Amino acid sequence: MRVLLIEDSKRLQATVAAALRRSGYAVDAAGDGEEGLWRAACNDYDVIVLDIMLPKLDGLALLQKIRKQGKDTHVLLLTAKDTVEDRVQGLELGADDYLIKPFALKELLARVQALCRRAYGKKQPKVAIADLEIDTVSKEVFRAGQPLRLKPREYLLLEYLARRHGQLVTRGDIEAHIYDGQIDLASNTVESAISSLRKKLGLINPAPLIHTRHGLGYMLKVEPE
Amino acid sequence: MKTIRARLTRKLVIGFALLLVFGGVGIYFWNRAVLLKEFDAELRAKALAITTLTRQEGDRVDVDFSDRFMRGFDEKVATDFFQMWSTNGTSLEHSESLGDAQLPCRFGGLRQPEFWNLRLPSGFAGRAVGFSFSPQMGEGEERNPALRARVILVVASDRRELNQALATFAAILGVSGLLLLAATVLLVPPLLRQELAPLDQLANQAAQINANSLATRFPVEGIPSELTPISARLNDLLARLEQSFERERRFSADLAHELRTPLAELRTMAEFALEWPEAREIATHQEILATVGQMEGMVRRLLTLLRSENGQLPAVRERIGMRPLIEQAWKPFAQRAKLKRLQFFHHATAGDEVETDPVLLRSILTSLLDNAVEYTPAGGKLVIDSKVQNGRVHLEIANNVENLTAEDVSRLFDRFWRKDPARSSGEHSGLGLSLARGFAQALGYELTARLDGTSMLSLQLSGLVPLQIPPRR
Repeated sequence: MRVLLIEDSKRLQATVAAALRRSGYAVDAAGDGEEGLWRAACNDYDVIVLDIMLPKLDGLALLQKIRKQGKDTHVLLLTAKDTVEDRVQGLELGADDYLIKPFALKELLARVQALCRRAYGKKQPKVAIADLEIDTVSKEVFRAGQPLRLKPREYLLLEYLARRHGQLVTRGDIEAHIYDGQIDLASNTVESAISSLRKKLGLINPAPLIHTRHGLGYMLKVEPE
Repeated sequence: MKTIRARLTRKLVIGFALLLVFGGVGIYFWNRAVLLKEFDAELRAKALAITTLTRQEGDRVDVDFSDRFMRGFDEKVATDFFQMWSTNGTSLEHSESLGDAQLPCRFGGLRQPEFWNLRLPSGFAGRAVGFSFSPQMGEGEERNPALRARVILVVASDRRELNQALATFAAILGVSGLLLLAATVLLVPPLLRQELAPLDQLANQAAQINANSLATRFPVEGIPSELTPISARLNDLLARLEQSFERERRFSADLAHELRTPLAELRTMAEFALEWPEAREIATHQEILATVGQMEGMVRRLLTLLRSENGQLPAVRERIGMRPLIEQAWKPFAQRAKLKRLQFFHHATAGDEVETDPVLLRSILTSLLDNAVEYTPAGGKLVIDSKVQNGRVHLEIANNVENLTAEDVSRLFDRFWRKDPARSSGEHSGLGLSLARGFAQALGYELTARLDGTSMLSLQLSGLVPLQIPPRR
């Protein structure tokens, strides 16, 4: 899951970005409205965490612009303003959620996660496909009831594929949603991550879950026997 | 109850009652005088009629009186009486109605007879007239004045009818007065209520106003003209209150906002450290300290501002030169100005000395210069001008600005106001100019802002008293 954090307080930005990364998200950060708008326009984020009072372009104007561009990325507004009018205005302009400063880090992470689930039309925190079960809250994966030890990036990839299960996922999609600007993507980064994930899934049950559509991308689904 | 209505009702009723009493008494006595005059005239006419019937025949005086034509003198009717005396007091004649009784012998002249009240022989109240006159001489009598006799005539009449009429009139007056008073008591309160209704409406409207409805305004049209100035003054007061509340509300919101971001920083850093202790770095502690320092600075500035606004800032007066003070204050900003390629000009009248608090004045200058250097666009102009005008030192710091409106200038000295609403850097709290104005007020100076055109902001400090005014060139 890839998150864009637009926050002008450097300390808050660094801490929240680190917390999001530690929670398994790919995070891009922007310190002002213009940079945030540029990043939101160039990338396909699952969630945007957006501060309202930003230099250069304020958060609500940014929100309006990205909605005008047709982007329906879920947006969590962060602000120090707590009046009902402020909240209503933000929600009317197309925000999906609202968090008032100072906030609990855990609450922010939970709300980002809830928005990620909504991004893929899922309400349950657990995703189950055949004998594969993913707990998106505890970030644990089980196959045939046995726990699977995955690296954070592998977990992200599996969760992303699982959320879009039955759909064709291109390499570009994976790059856009799993890797943030801090990763220097090589041409085979996605292939090697898929290969590693397949190996770990196959250790418990050899029945393949991730299928390659040559020249198109990948699909997580249960093939009929 | 001390309401205007109750007081007006009371005073109107009392006033009207007094008016009725005095008016009634006046009317009664006027009417009594008229009736008495008529009665006396009638009495005198009766007496004159008797004089025409009186003749002197030699030494004798005869009264050719017949009560056939004046029934009142008859002993059966007995409402009128007369008695005639000679000047030596001998009773010459009297009416039958008098019987054996006597009338008092009091008299005036014919032209000015004497009238008085008396108790009649019949026992009733009466009124009498008395005068002396010379009877007509009989036919063939010598008309020698020396031989003419003088007689005294007293005529009295029963005045019960007059008294009855006066008593009836007094009763009518009294009853009418009471009825009018009752009507007044009944009519005045509702009338006053009706006429004072606009005042009640004003009071009700005022009672409904609270801190959340300060935008309410009282009507100034369609109300009695006496209330128009009250409405207008109340509206002025409400406007000032609204402005003041709005400023305070904005200040509270701004203060909360200013504190929320550093609090969020502290909280997230602490929670992050607890959640992922292995990721804790020394830099985090430094960041926490920096945030705490920022909050501490803000609280310190706010307290100083409050003290200056409450007049609790002690000022120590010293004699200082303006030019060296400005130069000292400018020094810390010179490098920043150079980096921004600002065109800096300093036009100061050398030698102007003022007696002031050097620390507070320098703080004011620092705030103004900091603001000017920060917000002048790169390559822009910054001018410091100090001169003596009208016996006062006038300091002006003008600089180029971008995108500043007249409304922004009006809020320039508001606490926490910044053109850029994002409080990102933490370096500028938005309190600098508020503090500068607070310090200026503490020193008795005036700090104002003006926008010249659209690109030049001018902050002026005036009111400094020079110790010596340089000679005119």
